[in-house]
Amino acid sequence: MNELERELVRLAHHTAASIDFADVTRRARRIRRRRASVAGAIGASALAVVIGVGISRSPRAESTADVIGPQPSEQLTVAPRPWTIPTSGRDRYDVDTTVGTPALQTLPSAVDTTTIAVVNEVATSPDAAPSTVPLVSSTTSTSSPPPEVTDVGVGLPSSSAPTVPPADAPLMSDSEAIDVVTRYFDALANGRYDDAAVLLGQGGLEESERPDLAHLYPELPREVSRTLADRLETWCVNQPSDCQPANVVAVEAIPYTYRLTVELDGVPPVRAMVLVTWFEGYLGIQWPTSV
Amino acid sequence: MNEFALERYDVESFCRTMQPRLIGALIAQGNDQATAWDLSQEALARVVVAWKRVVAADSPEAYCFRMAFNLSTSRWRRRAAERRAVDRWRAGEQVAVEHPVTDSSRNADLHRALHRLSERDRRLVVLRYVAGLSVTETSQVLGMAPGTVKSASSRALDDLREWLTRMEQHS
Repeated sequence: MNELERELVRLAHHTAASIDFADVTRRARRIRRRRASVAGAIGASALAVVIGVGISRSPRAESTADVIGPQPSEQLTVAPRPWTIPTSGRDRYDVDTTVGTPALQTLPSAVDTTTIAVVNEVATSPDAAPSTVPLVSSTTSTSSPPPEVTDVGVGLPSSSAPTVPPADAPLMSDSEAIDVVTRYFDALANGRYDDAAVLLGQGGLEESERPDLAHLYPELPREVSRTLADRLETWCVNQPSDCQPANVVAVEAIPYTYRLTVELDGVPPVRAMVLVTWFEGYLGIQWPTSV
Repeated sequence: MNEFALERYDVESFCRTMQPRLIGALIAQGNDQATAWDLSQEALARVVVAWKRVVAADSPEAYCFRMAFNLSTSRWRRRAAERRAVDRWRAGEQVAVEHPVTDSSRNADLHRALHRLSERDRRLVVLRYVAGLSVTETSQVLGMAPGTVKSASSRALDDLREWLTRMEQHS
Protein backbone atom coordinates (compact mmCIF):
# COMPACT_ATOMS: atom_id res chain seq x y z
CA MET A 1 0.00 0.00 0.00
CA ASN A 2 1.48 3.34 -0.98
CA GLU A 3 1.36 6.59 0.94
CA LEU A 4 -1.68 7.97 -0.86
CA GLU A 5 -3.68 4.83 -0.15
CA ARG A 6 -2.69 5.01 3.50
CA GLU A 7 -3.84 8.63 3.66
CA LEU A 8 -7.20 7.64 2.20
CA VAL A 9 -7.61 4.80 4.67
CA ARG A 10 -6.99 7.23 7.52
CA LEU A 11 -9.92 9.41 6.37
CA ALA A 12 -12.42 6.83 7.55
CA HIS A 13 -10.55 4.78 10.07
CA HIS A 14 -9.58 7.82 12.10
CA THR A 15 -13.12 9.18 12.08
CA ALA A 16 -14.82 9.23 15.46
CA ALA A 17 -18.54 9.68 15.92
CA SER A 18 -21.13 9.10 18.56
CA ILE A 19 -23.95 6.88 17.44
CA ASP A 20 -27.47 7.63 18.66
CA PHE A 21 -28.84 4.14 18.62
CA ALA A 22 -32.21 5.18 20.05
CA ASP A 23 -32.56 7.46 17.03
CA VAL A 24 -31.56 4.59 14.74
CA THR A 25 -34.27 2.41 16.27
CA ARG A 26 -36.87 5.17 15.94
CA ARG A 27 -36.00 5.60 12.29
CA ALA A 28 -36.18 1.84 11.77
CA ARG A 29 -39.70 1.76 13.18
CA ARG A 30 -40.72 4.65 10.97
CA ILE A 31 -39.34 2.88 7.90
CA ARG A 32 -41.29 -0.26 8.78
CA ARG A 33 -44.48 1.70 9.30
CA ARG A 34 -44.03 3.53 6.03
CA ARG A 35 -43.39 0.32 4.11
CA ALA A 36 -46.40 -1.30 5.71
CA SER A 37 -48.60 1.65 4.76
CA VAL A 38 -47.30 1.67 1.19
CA ALA A 39 -47.92 -2.05 0.86
CA GLY A 40 -51.41 -1.56 2.23
CA ALA A 41 -52.16 1.30 -0.11
CA ILE A 42 -51.04 -0.59 -3.16
CA GLY A 43 -52.78 -3.77 -2.14
CA ALA A 44 -51.40 -7.24 -2.27
CA SER A 45 -53.34 -8.20 -5.34
CA ALA A 46 -52.21 -5.17 -7.32
CA LEU A 47 -48.60 -5.78 -6.34
CA ALA A 48 -48.90 -9.40 -7.39
CA VAL A 49 -50.21 -8.31 -10.75
CA VAL A 50 -47.38 -5.83 -11.19
CA ILE A 51 -44.78 -8.46 -10.32
CA GLY A 52 -46.44 -11.07 -12.45
CA VAL A 53 -47.12 -8.98 -15.49
CA GLY A 54 -44.06 -6.82 -15.48
CA ILE A 55 -44.48 -3.97 -17.89
CA SER A 56 -48.12 -3.18 -18.26
CA ARG A 57 -49.23 -3.80 -21.75
CA SER A 58 -52.36 -3.40 -23.72
CA PRO A 59 -53.93 -5.87 -26.09
CA ARG A 60 -51.68 -7.27 -28.76
CA ALA A 61 -51.82 -6.38 -32.42
CA GLU A 62 -54.97 -8.23 -33.27
CA SER A 63 -57.00 -6.21 -30.80
CA THR A 64 -55.33 -2.79 -30.76
CA ALA A 65 -57.52 -1.60 -33.59
CA ASP A 66 -60.51 -2.28 -31.38
CA VAL A 67 -58.99 -0.15 -28.68
CA ILE A 68 -58.27 2.84 -30.90
CA GLY A 69 -61.07 2.57 -33.37
CA PRO A 70 -60.84 3.84 -36.95
CA GLN A 71 -61.54 7.55 -36.55
CA PRO A 72 -59.81 9.25 -39.48
CA SER A 73 -60.18 12.95 -38.88
CA GLU A 74 -60.90 13.86 -35.31
CA GLN A 75 -58.27 15.05 -32.92
CA LEU A 76 -57.64 14.38 -29.27
CA THR A 77 -57.04 17.54 -27.32
CA VAL A 78 -55.79 17.75 -23.79
CA ALA A 79 -57.74 20.16 -21.66
CA PRO A 80 -55.79 23.07 -20.18
CA ARG A 81 -54.78 22.41 -16.61
CA PRO A 82 -52.51 24.52 -14.44
CA TRP A 83 -49.38 22.70 -13.43
CA THR A 84 -47.72 23.74 -10.25
CA ILE A 85 -45.30 22.32 -7.76
CA PRO A 86 -47.16 20.28 -5.13
CA THR A 87 -48.04 22.49 -2.21
CA SER A 88 -50.45 20.31 -0.32
CA GLY A 89 -50.20 20.04 3.43
CA ARG A 90 -49.03 16.48 3.12
CA ASP A 91 -45.40 15.80 3.90
CA ARG A 92 -43.72 15.95 0.52
CA TYR A 93 -41.36 13.21 1.59
CA ASP A 94 -44.19 10.71 1.94
CA VAL A 95 -44.75 8.27 -0.84
CA ASP A 96 -47.44 9.59 -3.15
CA THR A 97 -49.50 6.53 -3.85
CA THR A 98 -51.83 8.53 -6.07
CA VAL A 99 -49.21 8.45 -8.80
CA GLY A 100 -50.11 4.86 -9.49
CA THR A 101 -52.68 4.77 -12.23
CA PRO A 102 -54.56 2.08 -14.08
CA ALA A 103 -52.05 0.31 -16.20
CA LEU A 104 -53.97 -0.19 -19.35
CA GLN A 105 -54.71 2.94 -21.27
CA THR A 106 -57.86 2.42 -23.22
CA LEU A 107 -57.90 5.29 -25.61
CA PRO A 108 -61.19 7.05 -26.23
CA SER A 109 -62.93 5.95 -29.35
CA ALA A 110 -62.64 9.40 -30.88
CA VAL A 111 -58.89 9.17 -31.24
CA ASP A 112 -57.44 9.98 -34.61
CA THR A 113 -55.43 7.10 -36.03
CA THR A 114 -53.19 9.30 -38.12
CA THR A 115 -52.46 12.32 -36.00
CA ILE A 116 -53.10 13.27 -32.44
CA ALA A 117 -53.03 16.88 -31.45
CA VAL A 118 -51.26 17.77 -28.27
CA VAL A 119 -52.13 21.02 -26.60
CA ASN A 120 -49.91 22.38 -23.92
CA GLU A 121 -51.55 22.72 -20.54
CA VAL A 122 -50.63 26.28 -19.81
CA ALA A 123 -51.89 28.92 -22.16
CA THR A 124 -48.99 31.24 -21.40
CA SER A 125 -46.45 28.68 -22.51
CA PRO A 126 -44.65 29.43 -25.79
CA ASP A 127 -45.62 26.04 -27.14
CA ALA A 128 -49.31 26.52 -26.66
CA ALA A 129 -50.03 25.82 -30.30
CA PRO A 130 -51.20 22.32 -31.05
CA SER A 131 -48.68 20.01 -32.53
CA THR A 132 -48.92 16.59 -34.04
CA VAL A 133 -47.45 13.25 -33.25
CA PRO A 134 -47.78 10.81 -36.12
CA LEU A 135 -49.30 7.56 -35.08
CA VAL A 136 -47.79 4.42 -36.47
CA SER A 137 -50.46 1.87 -37.04
CA SER A 138 -49.97 -1.39 -35.23
CA THR A 139 -50.16 -3.23 -38.52
CA THR A 140 -47.39 -1.22 -40.18
CA SER A 141 -45.17 -0.24 -37.31
CA THR A 142 -42.44 -2.75 -37.98
CA SER A 143 -41.65 -1.25 -41.35
CA SER A 144 -42.44 2.37 -40.64
CA PRO A 145 -39.81 5.04 -40.13
CA PRO A 146 -39.33 6.43 -36.64
CA PRO A 147 -42.05 8.85 -35.56
CA GLU A 148 -41.52 12.50 -36.22
CA VAL A 149 -42.38 14.67 -33.29
CA THR A 150 -43.18 18.14 -34.50
CA ASP A 151 -43.97 19.72 -31.18
CA VAL A 152 -41.95 22.92 -30.97
CA GLY A 153 -42.07 23.19 -27.22
CA VAL A 154 -39.41 25.09 -25.40
CA GLY A 155 -38.74 24.87 -21.74
CA LEU A 156 -36.44 23.21 -19.31
CA PRO A 157 -34.27 20.75 -21.21
CA SER A 158 -34.23 17.43 -19.47
CA SER A 159 -30.45 17.46 -19.41
CA SER A 160 -30.08 20.90 -17.91
CA ALA A 161 -29.11 21.68 -14.36
CA PRO A 162 -31.86 21.28 -11.79
CA THR A 163 -33.84 24.41 -11.17
CA VAL A 164 -37.03 25.06 -9.31
CA PRO A 165 -39.52 26.72 -11.64
CA PRO A 166 -41.92 29.39 -10.42
CA ALA A 167 -45.03 28.03 -8.78
CA ASP A 168 -47.22 28.79 -11.79
CA ALA A 169 -44.80 27.44 -14.40
CA PRO A 170 -45.44 24.17 -16.22
CA LEU A 171 -43.27 21.37 -14.94
CA MET A 172 -42.50 20.19 -18.45
CA SER A 173 -43.71 20.64 -21.97
CA ASP A 174 -45.32 18.03 -24.18
CA SER A 175 -42.23 17.84 -26.33
CA GLU A 176 -40.03 17.21 -23.30
CA ALA A 177 -42.28 14.42 -22.07
CA ILE A 178 -42.27 12.82 -25.51
CA ASP A 179 -38.54 13.30 -25.80
CA VAL A 180 -37.90 11.58 -22.47
CA VAL A 181 -39.97 8.55 -23.43
CA THR A 182 -38.41 8.34 -26.88
CA ARG A 183 -34.89 8.59 -25.45
CA TYR A 184 -35.67 5.94 -22.86
CA PHE A 185 -36.86 3.35 -25.35
CA ASP A 186 -34.12 4.22 -27.83
CA ALA A 187 -31.57 3.64 -25.09
CA LEU A 188 -33.10 0.26 -24.26
CA ALA A 189 -33.32 -0.75 -27.90
CA ASN A 190 -29.69 0.15 -28.47
CA GLY A 191 -28.37 -1.51 -25.35
CA ARG A 192 -27.52 1.75 -23.58
CA TYR A 193 -28.89 0.52 -20.28
CA ASP A 194 -26.96 3.07 -18.23
CA ASP A 195 -28.72 5.90 -20.06
CA ALA A 196 -32.10 4.23 -19.63
CA ALA A 197 -31.38 3.59 -15.96
CA VAL A 198 -30.68 7.29 -15.41
CA LEU A 199 -34.14 8.17 -16.72
CA LEU A 200 -35.82 5.32 -14.88
CA GLY A 201 -33.98 6.01 -11.65
CA GLN A 202 -35.10 9.62 -11.22
CA GLY A 203 -37.25 10.42 -8.25
CA GLY A 204 -37.13 10.19 -4.53
CA LEU A 205 -37.46 6.50 -3.86
CA GLU A 206 -34.66 4.01 -4.11
CA GLU A 207 -35.08 1.79 -7.10
CA SER A 208 -35.44 -1.37 -5.02
CA GLU A 209 -38.31 0.26 -3.14
CA ARG A 210 -40.30 1.41 -6.14
CA PRO A 211 -43.38 -0.70 -6.78
CA ASP A 212 -43.31 0.13 -10.47
CA LEU A 213 -39.87 -1.49 -10.78
CA ALA A 214 -40.88 -4.65 -8.92
CA HIS A 215 -40.68 -6.62 -12.14
CA LEU A 216 -36.98 -5.82 -12.27
CA TYR A 217 -36.54 -7.13 -8.72
CA PRO A 218 -38.14 -10.57 -8.87
CA GLU A 219 -36.13 -11.99 -6.01
CA LEU A 220 -37.57 -11.68 -2.55
CA PRO A 221 -36.22 -10.28 -0.40
CA ARG A 222 -34.96 -7.77 -2.90
CA GLU A 223 -31.28 -7.98 -3.33
CA VAL A 224 -29.74 -4.62 -4.13
CA SER A 225 -26.21 -5.45 -5.16
CA ARG A 226 -27.02 -5.27 -8.88
CA THR A 227 -27.47 -1.95 -10.55
CA LEU A 228 -30.62 -0.85 -12.27
CA ALA A 229 -28.79 -0.91 -15.60
CA ASP A 230 -27.88 -4.57 -15.06
CA ARG A 231 -31.46 -5.38 -14.27
CA LEU A 232 -32.70 -3.56 -17.34
CA GLU A 233 -30.26 -5.53 -19.45
CA THR A 234 -31.51 -8.81 -17.99
CA TRP A 235 -35.09 -7.73 -18.53
CA CYS A 236 -34.47 -6.77 -22.13
CA VAL A 237 -32.73 -10.06 -22.83
CA ASN A 238 -35.74 -11.94 -21.49
CA GLN A 239 -38.40 -9.57 -22.82
CA PRO A 240 -36.96 -8.10 -26.02
CA SER A 241 -40.38 -6.99 -27.18
CA ASP A 242 -40.52 -4.53 -24.26
CA CYS A 243 -37.27 -2.87 -25.29
CA GLN A 244 -38.02 -1.60 -28.76
CA PRO A 245 -38.06 1.95 -30.06
CA ALA A 246 -41.35 3.53 -29.12
CA ASN A 247 -43.81 5.63 -31.02
CA VAL A 248 -45.78 8.00 -28.86
CA VAL A 249 -49.43 7.49 -29.53
CA ALA A 250 -51.11 9.76 -27.03
CA VAL A 251 -50.18 12.28 -24.39
CA GLU A 252 -52.30 13.14 -21.40
CA ALA A 253 -51.68 15.44 -18.50
CA ILE A 254 -52.42 14.22 -15.01
CA PRO A 255 -51.39 16.16 -11.93
CA TYR A 256 -47.62 16.62 -11.78
CA THR A 257 -47.11 13.94 -14.39
CA TYR A 258 -47.53 13.27 -18.07
CA ARG A 259 -49.12 10.00 -19.07
CA LEU A 260 -48.07 8.77 -22.47
CA THR A 261 -49.33 5.84 -24.41
CA VAL A 262 -46.60 4.33 -26.50
CA GLU A 263 -46.47 1.64 -29.09
CA LEU A 264 -43.33 -0.42 -29.15
CA ASP A 265 -42.04 -1.72 -32.44
CA GLY A 266 -41.79 -5.43 -32.70
CA VAL A 267 -43.79 -8.36 -33.87
CA PRO A 268 -46.44 -8.03 -32.72
CA PRO A 269 -46.29 -4.41 -31.55
CA VAL A 270 -46.89 -3.78 -27.88
CA ARG A 271 -48.89 -0.92 -26.54
CA ALA A 272 -48.07 0.33 -23.06
CA MET A 273 -48.55 3.30 -20.83
CA VAL A 274 -45.64 5.27 -19.40
CA LEU A 275 -45.50 8.14 -16.95
CA VAL A 276 -43.06 11.01 -17.29
CA THR A 277 -42.49 12.62 -13.94
CA TRP A 278 -40.78 15.78 -12.77
CA PHE A 279 -38.58 15.60 -9.70
CA GLU A 280 -36.41 18.49 -8.59
CA GLY A 281 -35.90 19.65 -12.15
CA TYR A 282 -35.19 16.24 -13.60
CA LEU A 283 -37.58 14.39 -15.86
CA GLY A 284 -37.84 10.66 -15.40
CA ILE A 285 -39.75 7.58 -16.38
CA GLN A 286 -42.17 5.65 -14.22
CA TRP A 287 -44.41 2.74 -14.94
CA PRO A 288 -47.95 2.65 -13.66
CA THR A 289 -48.09 0.86 -10.35
CA SER A 290 -51.60 -0.52 -10.18
CA VAL A 291 -54.18 -1.98 -12.48
CA MET B 1 -41.12 -6.93 23.93
CA ASN B 2 -39.30 -4.37 21.83
CA GLU B 3 -39.42 -5.66 18.29
CA PHE B 4 -35.71 -5.02 17.85
CA ALA B 5 -34.64 -6.15 21.29
CA LEU B 6 -34.00 -9.76 20.35
CA GLU B 7 -31.13 -9.06 18.05
CA ARG B 8 -30.26 -5.71 19.40
CA TYR B 9 -26.89 -6.64 20.81
CA ASP B 10 -25.49 -7.85 17.52
CA VAL B 11 -27.15 -5.10 15.52
CA GLU B 12 -25.97 -2.44 17.87
CA SER B 13 -22.37 -3.58 17.95
CA PHE B 14 -22.37 -3.82 14.17
CA CYS B 15 -23.81 -0.32 13.89
CA ARG B 16 -21.32 1.10 16.37
CA THR B 17 -18.47 -0.42 14.39
CA MET B 18 -19.77 0.70 11.06
CA GLN B 19 -20.85 4.25 11.78
CA PRO B 20 -17.43 5.97 11.87
CA ARG B 21 -16.47 4.25 8.61
CA LEU B 22 -19.76 5.22 7.04
CA ILE B 23 -19.36 8.81 8.09
CA GLY B 24 -15.77 8.94 6.84
CA ALA B 25 -16.85 7.55 3.48
CA LEU B 26 -19.89 9.81 3.25
CA ILE B 27 -17.81 12.90 4.00
CA ALA B 28 -15.24 11.84 1.42
CA GLN B 29 -18.14 11.38 -0.95
CA GLY B 30 -18.97 15.06 -0.57
CA ASN B 31 -21.35 15.42 2.35
CA ASP B 32 -20.78 17.75 5.27
CA GLN B 33 -20.29 16.24 8.70
CA ALA B 34 -23.81 16.79 10.02
CA THR B 35 -25.42 15.44 6.87
CA ALA B 36 -23.03 12.48 6.82
CA TRP B 37 -23.96 11.69 10.42
CA ASP B 38 -27.66 11.83 9.57
CA LEU B 39 -27.23 9.68 6.46
CA SER B 40 -25.28 7.14 8.49
CA GLN B 41 -28.07 7.02 11.08
CA GLU B 42 -30.60 6.51 8.31
CA ALA B 43 -28.50 3.79 6.68
CA LEU B 44 -28.08 2.04 9.99
CA ALA B 45 -31.83 2.21 10.56
CA ARG B 46 -32.20 0.30 7.31
CA VAL B 47 -29.62 -2.15 8.56
CA VAL B 48 -31.79 -2.71 11.62
CA VAL B 49 -34.89 -3.22 9.50
CA ALA B 50 -33.12 -5.59 7.13
CA TRP B 51 -30.83 -7.18 9.69
CA LYS B 52 -31.51 -10.76 8.64
CA ARG B 53 -30.69 -9.92 5.06
CA VAL B 54 -27.64 -7.95 6.12
CA VAL B 55 -26.11 -10.82 8.08
CA ALA B 56 -27.02 -13.26 5.33
CA ALA B 57 -25.25 -11.17 2.69
CA ASP B 58 -21.84 -12.16 1.42
CA SER B 59 -20.47 -9.01 2.92
CA PRO B 60 -22.61 -7.23 5.51
CA GLU B 61 -20.24 -4.29 5.34
CA ALA B 62 -20.68 -3.93 1.60
CA TYR B 63 -24.43 -4.17 2.05
CA CYS B 64 -24.29 -1.40 4.62
CA PHE B 65 -22.16 0.85 2.43
CA ARG B 66 -24.49 0.18 -0.45
CA MET B 67 -27.42 1.42 1.63
CA ALA B 68 -25.54 4.52 2.72
CA PHE B 69 -24.41 5.32 -0.80
CA ASN B 70 -27.93 4.85 -2.13
CA LEU B 71 -29.12 7.39 0.39
CA SER B 72 -26.31 9.78 -0.45
CA THR B 73 -26.87 9.44 -4.18
CA SER B 74 -30.57 10.16 -4.01
CA ARG B 75 -30.92 13.93 -4.10
CA TRP B 76 -34.26 13.63 -2.37
CA ARG B 77 -32.98 11.61 0.55
CA ARG B 78 -29.80 13.65 0.84
CA ARG B 79 -31.86 16.82 0.94
CA ALA B 80 -34.06 15.32 3.64
CA ALA B 81 -30.92 14.51 5.64
CA GLU B 82 -29.63 18.05 5.16
CA ARG B 83 -32.97 19.41 6.32
CA ARG B 84 -32.85 17.29 9.46
CA ALA B 85 -29.25 18.38 10.07
CA VAL B 86 -30.29 22.02 9.84
CA ASP B 87 -33.22 21.37 12.18
CA ARG B 88 -30.87 19.79 14.70
CA TRP B 89 -28.48 22.71 14.42
CA ARG B 90 -31.34 25.16 14.98
CA ALA B 91 -32.45 23.17 18.00
CA GLY B 92 -28.96 23.50 19.40
CA GLU B 93 -28.14 19.80 19.15
CA GLN B 94 -24.53 18.97 18.57
CA VAL B 95 -23.40 16.09 16.38
CA ALA B 96 -20.05 14.87 17.58
CA VAL B 97 -18.04 13.88 14.54
CA GLU B 98 -14.30 14.06 14.35
CA HIS B 99 -12.98 13.60 10.89
CA PRO B 100 -9.33 13.77 9.88
CA VAL B 101 -10.14 15.88 6.83
CA THR B 102 -10.20 18.88 9.08
CA ASP B 103 -7.00 17.93 10.84
CA SER B 104 -4.48 19.22 8.39
CA SER B 105 -4.10 21.10 5.16
CA ARG B 106 -2.87 17.90 3.54
CA ASN B 107 -6.15 16.15 4.31
CA ALA B 108 -8.08 19.17 3.12
CA ASP B 109 -6.18 18.94 -0.17
CA LEU B 110 -6.99 15.28 -0.33
CA HIS B 111 -10.63 16.09 0.16
CA ARG B 112 -10.57 18.73 -2.57
CA ALA B 113 -8.73 16.39 -4.93
CA LEU B 114 -11.38 13.73 -4.39
CA HIS B 115 -13.96 16.20 -5.59
CA ARG B 116 -12.05 16.72 -8.81
CA LEU B 117 -12.72 13.12 -9.72
CA SER B 118 -15.78 12.03 -11.61
CA GLU B 119 -18.70 10.73 -9.60
CA ARG B 120 -17.90 7.15 -10.53
CA ASP B 121 -14.19 7.43 -9.81
CA ARG B 122 -14.85 9.12 -6.49
CA ARG B 123 -17.21 6.33 -5.46
CA LEU B 124 -14.61 3.78 -6.45
CA VAL B 125 -11.81 5.42 -4.51
CA VAL B 126 -14.01 6.03 -1.48
CA LEU B 127 -15.27 2.47 -1.37
CA ARG B 128 -11.96 0.82 -2.11
CA TYR B 129 -9.65 2.89 0.05
CA VAL B 130 -11.61 5.11 2.42
CA ALA B 131 -14.23 2.48 3.26
CA GLY B 132 -11.67 -0.27 2.90
CA LEU B 133 -13.84 -2.65 0.91
CA SER B 134 -12.24 -5.42 -1.11
CA VAL B 135 -12.38 -5.49 -4.91
CA THR B 136 -15.18 -8.06 -4.76
CA GLU B 137 -17.17 -6.05 -2.24
CA THR B 138 -16.72 -2.86 -4.24
CA SER B 139 -17.86 -4.62 -7.38
CA GLN B 140 -20.97 -5.80 -5.53
CA VAL B 141 -21.79 -2.31 -4.31
CA LEU B 142 -21.25 -0.61 -7.64
CA GLY B 143 -22.47 -3.42 -9.84
CA MET B 144 -19.23 -3.56 -11.82
CA ALA B 145 -17.04 -6.46 -12.81
CA PRO B 146 -14.12 -6.99 -10.41
CA GLY B 147 -11.67 -6.42 -13.26
CA THR B 148 -13.27 -3.08 -14.02
CA VAL B 149 -13.04 -2.11 -10.37
CA LYS B 150 -9.33 -2.89 -10.33
CA SER B 151 -8.45 -1.01 -13.49
CA ALA B 152 -10.76 1.93 -12.88
CA SER B 153 -9.70 2.41 -9.26
CA SER B 154 -6.07 2.30 -10.29
CA ARG B 155 -6.68 4.99 -12.90
CA ALA B 156 -8.71 7.03 -10.42
CA LEU B 157 -5.89 6.84 -7.92
CA ASP B 158 -3.46 8.08 -10.58
CA ASP B 159 -5.79 10.99 -11.32
CA LEU B 160 -6.05 11.75 -7.62
CA ARG B 161 -2.29 11.74 -7.29
CA GLU B 162 -1.99 14.08 -10.25
CA TRP B 163 -4.52 16.52 -8.76
CA LEU B 164 -2.64 16.50 -5.46
CA THR B 165 0.63 17.21 -7.25
CA ARG B 166 -0.93 20.12 -9.08
CA MET B 167 -2.32 21.51 -5.84
CA GLU B 168 1.09 21.29 -4.20
CA GLN B 169 2.67 23.09 -7.13
CA HIS B 170 0.15 25.92 -6.97
CA SER B 171 0.33 26.36 -3.22
